[in-house]
Amino acid sequence: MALIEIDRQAVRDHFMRRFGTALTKVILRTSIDNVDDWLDANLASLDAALPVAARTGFSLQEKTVLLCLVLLRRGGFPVDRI
Amino acid sequence: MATTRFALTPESAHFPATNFPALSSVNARPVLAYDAATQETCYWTIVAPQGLAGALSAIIHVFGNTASTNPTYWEVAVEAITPSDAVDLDSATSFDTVNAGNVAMGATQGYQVSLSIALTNADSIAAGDYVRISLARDADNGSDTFAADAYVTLVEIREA
Repeated sequence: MALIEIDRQAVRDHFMRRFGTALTKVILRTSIDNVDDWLDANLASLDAALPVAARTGFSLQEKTVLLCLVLLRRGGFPVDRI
Repeated sequence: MATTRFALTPESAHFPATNFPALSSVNARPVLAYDAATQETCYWTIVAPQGLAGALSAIIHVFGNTASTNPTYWEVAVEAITPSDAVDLDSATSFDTVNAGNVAMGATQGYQVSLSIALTNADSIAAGDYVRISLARDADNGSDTFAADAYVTLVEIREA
């Protein structure tokens, strides 16, 4: 389920505080919207990539956490942040 | 000839109860860290010096927490209280209308830029007045597109 407005804003605010970017606030916010929308549009694809047992056995939250942990490591962050 | 009247340092600032810049340090330099998402404000208290007569400007020295020339937008306000003025200091403020401006940040992270804002609205400041200067980054303003913290190192109050 897509993030609500206040959550997308919170992502933008944290990104600016923690990392900052040379891009403008508007472009950063649009990028967050696009990533969030892309996740919605591609959930079925992610689901299909999982083994059947995980596809049917994991809850949506567990699948989300799994994705987050993989992405955190890809970004070079420790997985114990979650 | 322009005259420096005050150099307002981060450590001499004072803060409201909420939405204020963090007093921090970068490379051992004291800074006021202004957020990119929330409008934050701090104050300095001074006495208007004897001989004050000319127009005033505030020169804000600032650098960013990322490399970008996107601008930050700043607001400076003056509250000047003459003895016996009808201002109840217990409960009221009497800041004049804000004076505002924006500045392109440094293309290289850590490079400082400065912005001069004419204090057209200076609350009829006169020598001997008890004065507060407020400085806010209007992070929600459409002209503030710099998507990172802005570090204020110093504010100079200059008389033309």
